[in-house]
Amino acid sequence: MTFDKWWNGHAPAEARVECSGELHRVRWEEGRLSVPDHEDVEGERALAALGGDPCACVDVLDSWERHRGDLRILTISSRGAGDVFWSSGPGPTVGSYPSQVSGALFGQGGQGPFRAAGNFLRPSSSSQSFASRGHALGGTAVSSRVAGVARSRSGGPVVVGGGPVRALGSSAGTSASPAQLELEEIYSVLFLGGGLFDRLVATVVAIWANREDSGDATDHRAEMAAALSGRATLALRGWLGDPNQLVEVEMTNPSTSGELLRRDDLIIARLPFRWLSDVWTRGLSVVLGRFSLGLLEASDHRQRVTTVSPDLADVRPVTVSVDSP
Amino acid sequence: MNEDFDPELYLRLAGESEVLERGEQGRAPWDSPLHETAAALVAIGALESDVAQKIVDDYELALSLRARHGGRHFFARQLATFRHRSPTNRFCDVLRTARIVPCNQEFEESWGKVTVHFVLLGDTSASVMVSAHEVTPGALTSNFPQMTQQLAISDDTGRREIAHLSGGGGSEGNYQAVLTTQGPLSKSAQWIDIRANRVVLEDDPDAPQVVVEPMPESDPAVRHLWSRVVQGRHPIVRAPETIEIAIRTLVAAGALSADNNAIQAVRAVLAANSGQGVGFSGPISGVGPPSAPGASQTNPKLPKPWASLLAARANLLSGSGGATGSGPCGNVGLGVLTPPVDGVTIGLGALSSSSDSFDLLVVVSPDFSVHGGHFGASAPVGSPTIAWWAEDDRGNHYVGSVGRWAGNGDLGQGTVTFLPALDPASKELRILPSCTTERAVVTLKLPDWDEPRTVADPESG
Repeated sequence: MTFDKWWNGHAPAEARVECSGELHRVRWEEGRLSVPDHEDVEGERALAALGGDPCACVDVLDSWERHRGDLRILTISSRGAGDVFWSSGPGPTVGSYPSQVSGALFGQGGQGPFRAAGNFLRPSSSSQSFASRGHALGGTAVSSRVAGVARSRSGGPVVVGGGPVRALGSSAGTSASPAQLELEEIYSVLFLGGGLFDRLVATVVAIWANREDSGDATDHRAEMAAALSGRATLALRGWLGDPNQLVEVEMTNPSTSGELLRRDDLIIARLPFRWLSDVWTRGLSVVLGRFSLGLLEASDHRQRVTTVSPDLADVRPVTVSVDSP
Repeated sequence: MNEDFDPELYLRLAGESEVLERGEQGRAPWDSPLHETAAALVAIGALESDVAQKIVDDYELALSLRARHGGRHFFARQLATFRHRSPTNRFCDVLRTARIVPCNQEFEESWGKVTVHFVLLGDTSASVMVSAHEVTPGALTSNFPQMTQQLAISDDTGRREIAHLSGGGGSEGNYQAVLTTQGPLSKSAQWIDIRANRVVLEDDPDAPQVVVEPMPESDPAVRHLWSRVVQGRHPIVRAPETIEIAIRTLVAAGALSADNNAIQAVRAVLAANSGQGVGFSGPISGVGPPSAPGASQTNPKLPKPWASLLAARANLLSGSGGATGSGPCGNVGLGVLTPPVDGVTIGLGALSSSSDSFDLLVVVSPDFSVHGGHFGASAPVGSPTIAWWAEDDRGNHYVGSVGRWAGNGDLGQGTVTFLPALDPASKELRILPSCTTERAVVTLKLPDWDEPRTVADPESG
């Protein structure tokens, strides 16, 4: 079943980026990313192309566009609850991590990989930090805390949410390869904070689910099947409370319904790729202690899924809705 | 190949498993299951190396983001990932046009003795492999600040270059290191001066013969399996769990049947190496040095030549070898540069024999051909790795593993230690650095060890 508005059920998300000396909003809503504090995005792009200072907000927008259909995002991103990126502890926050990576990649500094953030990242303040909105993606967790911001528009590398965006050339060294720049760009969206990376993952999944439906994804079935397998496996293990549960995930044709089978100690999950878009990114993998096999209805405030009980015997729909105020 | 087998999906699922199991924790970076799987798939032609590499890179990035302990391997992984993706940073063979000269010259210092083993004169720099022996414990280290000052090396054309010291390591008063100049010296130099010490550079007219020949025909899957067993890194034989990944992959792909004799033989070697008594007595092919005949004559439980090799290693580890070993003692200068072997140029500087083993001082370019070089398992998937074999005129086989090593991706240099000890009665040694499709054969006439050809037994001095 295909849903025109795949973003139904995904709450809006927002992060703030330091741009031109101010904190600007980067907002995702109804499947689109926007930078509401910039009225003329094309004008900003033209200005930058003519040698003007890069605009951090527009850079984020462009990075998003370049990766919204990038299956690599699924390889890198969280598989679900418990699969977290390097997080708290005595070291730097998640947000400041990629800045240090960048420094190491480009030979900056001489204090080794664990040096203090130094001039690449300003100390975060309470006004520049914000909590991730968290678990919109079936409990996925990119981070619990993201340190925001860094450079001003005229001050060298632009850093968003602790991660440097593309315009890192001025002080980050001049020998960056395209692959290195690509990595930096992925970091820039990965650590945006505010739940935006979850929305990017949802976007990638939705795009490829639609391509699969229209038969345009045959060359990428291995990537898609692997992405489905990792996430479904983690969801099933969490559901059954057994981190060592043997799981085999078979990616079925888009038109088929999901099902779970048990063979001895093995759980076999037969799911279409669309399960990721319809169920997993909405955080509906497990509802009322039951595993969701597919989406039946979706609107802003109401989701209806086919579910199965832990003994795999009882299949029935469950409706999740948000009450009117 | 199994028709239902999807190699890309298999590799990606191995990556997913690594991510879910958080495989980063607690394993050595050169024992990456993902890399092992990819290498097996590339070896049997199931995946192109660049496709496999890209998948490995992406999953390594995913793993590094999940590394719990401050990104312990993060930076190496990232550098490795992007080094071999960057067109400007590809490894290159810097030895192909170099000149290597064996020296084995000794100089007295206030703290002890320095031996210059060989000098490598390249297009962009010169390298000098040296070892140091201190007369009293700590004598060398107390001079260390002086030793690490910038050191000038000049040649007979008046060129003078600053050199830096790297790769220092050793124990019990014996240390080994490499001096590398910042710029080139004359390739035709007849001598160089290191501080006040003159090192005469005389090419050996009787330098060992070297040829490159194709590896004998064998099944790619079997060949790959054995190449993973003898990876060249200490210990000689790799961890069984790592080899099992290769076995599982080859069987899943249909490249090997689960009851293939080679699998039994490999497992027998691994078990024997770990002290377990799993036997194997069937006929096998593709084992060890490619010229070796089938089953062992000395130990029916192990394929030849593993019985004698593992026995020698066990003796050494248990201490029953050591000073009581029967190997001759002395050094032999080599000065050999091979033509490219599967794209890898190998330089052999000197052979140093002791009672229980013998060492080769070697240089290779590119560096990853040894155990992943500086970047460990993050060396490009499918890149050639060298298995260090040797055999003598008395039917003995020897296998080598890399000991001290220093490298930068383009050039690696260090020591390869062979077991067992040289047979004192052997007159000829064939050194067989073996890659995927080719091997070098360096034929060395061994000296009368009672009268060492080049330098006296270092232990006597």
